[in-house]
Amino acid sequence: MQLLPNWAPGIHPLMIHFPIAFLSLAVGLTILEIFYSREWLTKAISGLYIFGALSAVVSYISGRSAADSIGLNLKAEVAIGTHSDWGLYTLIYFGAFTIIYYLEKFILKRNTLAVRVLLAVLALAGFFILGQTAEYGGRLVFEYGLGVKN
Amino acid sequence: MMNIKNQLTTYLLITLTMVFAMSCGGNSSSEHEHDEADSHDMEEMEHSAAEEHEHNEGEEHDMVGMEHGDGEMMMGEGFTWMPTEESMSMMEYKTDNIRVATSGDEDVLMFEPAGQKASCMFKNKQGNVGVTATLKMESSEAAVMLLHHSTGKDNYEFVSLEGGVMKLGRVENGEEKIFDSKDIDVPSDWFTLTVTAAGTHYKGYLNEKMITHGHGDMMKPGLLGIVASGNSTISVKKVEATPLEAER
Repeated sequence: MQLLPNWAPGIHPLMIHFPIAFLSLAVGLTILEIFYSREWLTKAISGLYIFGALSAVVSYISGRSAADSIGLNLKAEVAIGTHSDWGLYTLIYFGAFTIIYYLEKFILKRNTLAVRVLLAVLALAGFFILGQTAEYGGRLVFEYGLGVKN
Repeated sequence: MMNIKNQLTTYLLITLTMVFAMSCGGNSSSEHEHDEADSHDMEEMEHSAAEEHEHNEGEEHDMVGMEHGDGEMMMGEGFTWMPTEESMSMMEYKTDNIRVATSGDEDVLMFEPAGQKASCMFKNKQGNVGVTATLKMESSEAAVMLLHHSTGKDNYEFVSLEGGVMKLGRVENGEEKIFDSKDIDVPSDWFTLTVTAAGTHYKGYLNEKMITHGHGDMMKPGLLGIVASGNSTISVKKVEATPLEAER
C-alpha cells in the first residue's frame, strides 16, 4: 500500500503542518488562559503542547532526511541551513517549554495570574521561533522551488 | 508576595537560559561573527603584500616553487576557472608538480604528486561558498582534497577523496576534526566533487549527490584550493566557486 501520494517528495511537507497547528493553537489558548483559567483548558493546552513537541521531533528528523536527499542546490544552500537551525531551536524550545508547562500546572500547581502571564510570554517567544522556521520552510518551496516538480 | 518573586526569578532564569542556549552556535551570532570577520579581512587585504608573504611562509601543504600571478579578484567574487596558461595567474600559488596539459581535446590542470603533495590555491577569499571541481583520478592510489576557508597551513576546511572514502572536515590550529565520512565508489571517468559551506553547515557532494554533511562553527573567510597526493595523477578541467548569499 502506498502511504505517500505521488506528488509528495517525502513525509516532511506533510508532517510540518502538525507542529504548526498544534503549537499555534496551544500558544493562543495559553494567552486565553490568562483571563479564562479552567482545568479542562489547561488539560487541552497540555495535550496540544505534548503532541506539538512530538510532531516537531518527527518533522525535524524528516526534514534532515529531506535536506540530505535533494541534491546540489547552491542558491538554496544557506536557506536550507537556516531553516534547519530554526527547526532545531523550535524543537528544543517547545520540548523544554512543554516540560515547564506540565510541571507548573500539574506538579507545582501554582495557578496565579503572574504564572499564567509568564507562561504566555514564554509561549509567545516560542511562537516567534516557530514562525521563523515556517517562514524559511515556505521560502524553500515558494522562493527556491525545492520539492516542486517541473 | 515572596512566592511571586520566587516565581518571577525562576522564569527569568529559564528565559535567560533558553536565550543563551539558542544564541550559542546560532545563525544570528554566527552571521555577526562572519560580518566581523569580513570587515577584518577587508582590513587585512589592504596589507596584502606583507600578508601574502606571511601566508605563504606559513603555508603549507608542502608548498614549493610558488608562483605569484597578476590576476586579481574581489573578495567573495564567484568564478569559473578553466585551465589555460593565462588563467594560471588566478592562482595565489602552485607547486612545481602541476602543469597545464591536454587530455583529448581539452586542456586540463594535471596534478602529478608522485608520492608528494601537489597543490594550488586561488586568489580570492570566500566566506559562505560552494566549490565544484570537475576532475578525473587516474587510479585509486590518487587522493584529492578541495580546500576552503584556508588561512594558513594549520587552518582550513576540506572535503577529500582517498581510498574510496569521502571525508568532510576541518583542520584548526593543526588539529584535524572530521565532521562526517562515507565510503563511496569513486568514478573512473570525469566527475564533479563539490563542497559547500553555508553558515555552520558543511556538505560534500559527488556528482551533485550529497554524500557527507557535518556541522561546525563558522570560520573566517579564506582561500580555496586543491591538494592532490598519492602516486597517481589527477586531472582537473574546471573549478567553479559560487558565493552563497546569506539569508535575510
